[in-house]
Amino acid sequence: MARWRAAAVVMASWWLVVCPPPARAQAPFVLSSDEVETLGRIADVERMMVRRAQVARDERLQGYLADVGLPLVPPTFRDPRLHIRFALFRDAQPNAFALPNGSIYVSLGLLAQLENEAQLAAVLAHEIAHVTHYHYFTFDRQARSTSTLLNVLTVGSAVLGGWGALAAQVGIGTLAVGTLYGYSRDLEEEADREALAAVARAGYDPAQIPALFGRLLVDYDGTHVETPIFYSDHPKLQSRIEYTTRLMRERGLAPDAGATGAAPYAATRRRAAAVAVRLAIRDGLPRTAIAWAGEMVRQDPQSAEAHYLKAEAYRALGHRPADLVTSPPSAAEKKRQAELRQRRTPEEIEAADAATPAGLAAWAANSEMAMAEYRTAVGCDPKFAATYAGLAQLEAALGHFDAAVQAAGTFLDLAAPDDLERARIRQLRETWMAATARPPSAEVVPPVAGRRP
Amino acid sequence: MTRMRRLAVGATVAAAWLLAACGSPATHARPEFVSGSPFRAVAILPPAVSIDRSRLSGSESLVAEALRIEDVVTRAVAAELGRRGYLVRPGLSVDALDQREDLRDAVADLQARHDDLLGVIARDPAGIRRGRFTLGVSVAGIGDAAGADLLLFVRASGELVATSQKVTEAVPGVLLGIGGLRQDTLSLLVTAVDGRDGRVMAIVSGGATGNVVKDSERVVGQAVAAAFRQFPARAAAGPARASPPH
Repeated sequence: MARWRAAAVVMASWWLVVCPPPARAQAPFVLSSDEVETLGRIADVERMMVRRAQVARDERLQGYLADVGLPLVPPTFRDPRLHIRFALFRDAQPNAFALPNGSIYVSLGLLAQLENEAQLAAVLAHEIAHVTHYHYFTFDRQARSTSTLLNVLTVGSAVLGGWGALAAQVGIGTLAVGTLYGYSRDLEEEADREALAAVARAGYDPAQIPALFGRLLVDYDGTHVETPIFYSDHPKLQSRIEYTTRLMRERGLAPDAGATGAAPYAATRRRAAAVAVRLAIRDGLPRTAIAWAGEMVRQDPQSAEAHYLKAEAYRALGHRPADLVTSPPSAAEKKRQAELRQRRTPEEIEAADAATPAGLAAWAANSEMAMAEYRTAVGCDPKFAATYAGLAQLEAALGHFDAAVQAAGTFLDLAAPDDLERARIRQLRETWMAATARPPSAEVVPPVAGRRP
Repeated sequence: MTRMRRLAVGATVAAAWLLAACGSPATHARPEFVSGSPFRAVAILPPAVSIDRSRLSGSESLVAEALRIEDVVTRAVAAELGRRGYLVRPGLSVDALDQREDLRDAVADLQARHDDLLGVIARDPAGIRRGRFTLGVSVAGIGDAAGADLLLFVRASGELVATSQKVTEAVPGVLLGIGGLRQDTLSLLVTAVDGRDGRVMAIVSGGATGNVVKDSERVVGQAVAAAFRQFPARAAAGPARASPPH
């Protein structure tokens, strides 16, 4: 009997949880006192982000975001409690998010990945829609009411006693996961619809919205692991390409009807990529770094920094193959690699790769590419100090310790007195100098990708 | 696996470790570190503290409180190190980093790498003793800039449970004959890294019970004392390896 009563509670909870959410209030959106307090607390979150150096300080890029983003704010939107502003998130992953107080953050990785201003406008319009439609508060209200319901039902089912109570708790938990994440998906689709309208209004090519999702689908490093849509914050990108294309047709928006803004975006992309490439190398995404640095080189073939960054990315790639886009790994292989990264250090993974014939072949190709790029960088600007630090480490990895010592010396001559690389290169030079006194090792292991030696 | 996913996994593992550490201090260290620390000058990287409050209507992060407590944690760790004979350098404090952008970014990158590595360490903490883990020689620039030969990474996790939540949660446990009231806790994890070559020398952890927001000094002090119980004092004649402060 107790089991049946528990099942009844589960059914009741299911009905309460999945029943349609109440229609969102029309403007003005009424905030509770708790929600107004939340707006105040968001300032603390932003303070924390600054304190943890997650916010990039670049006034030029920030100003550009405002120039593109502010005209996309609906002219009818008026809420003195929310202040729409734009800032940069210091992260290699292409991403953007809006805080409920109106602050919109765009990652440097996203700026490096996008192709034109129209795609950036689409991202900003999407995030602006989250703010102007009060999506945070809508989602939070649903989440809170579900959470309260769960607590009440936990007590209710426990009163029934025995195994039925435990089963009821399991059932409720499963429903909660589905409902909490499901609402988010609806809100994301609404933001996409609003973005499409805003981008078209502003005179951008609306076809750049599906193109944007296509750019986000590119998986240079094979790190995108498929997740069930149930747990996904955003609808799957492929389905977003399909429904935004369908929406364009339904609204009579012709592709190529507006501007893409590729030319004005080029300088922004280059500036963001100069930092994003370094972050991608740090995060173990060398192929992503190669792609972004390659774009920098394409835009400015005389830039020593662009060639240097491309060389660094190839050196960081180490014993791994350079191209995963034309022959992508299977989902099972991606999962296996992801699990491996949780159990092994980057140094251990690199050493294992170095022991395979494929790894050695990849290293031969990657080190050759890196060497060519370092040499081109020296040709572009012989006084660009960082090139020599990277070159020295590559020479050492190839067992050319005399050349490594020489390049390290050049770096130490050229680098600023307070350059943070000085201590490391000085220390490495000592070990290389000692190595020149020894017979060369039979096996040379290059530096680990994403981790400087 | 994306960086965010890795961070989430790392944070989950670290949180599980922190929770396990509460009330049961643990130390994993290289033998040469335990037998008498050869390090002289220490720099504490800005700690990362999170505090969550569980209520019937859901849980929330207390960010302003966490930021305030990060300063309390830094002071308590510095005092504990001072008692063990170390010279504590302020070169990596939040204020110092605010003055120098390249160092600030380098420290943020190092913190991210530490958190990545923490996920691997948590699966094999005994590997620290075997010398399995390192953050790489790139720490040398940061150690040099701070004038320190030992770098400390500090992570803390506080949990406050509202009375209504405690009672609600306790009901099933009482009726089923298991469990009791949850307590407010603070758990702390400290990683010590050689500031010259990046070797992970030790990880210590400890915890305390009590409301860390209302009674910050006491709760933080107890957690830090528990974590540092087995942290070695500076060897009396330890070699002076640190560079002078810049």
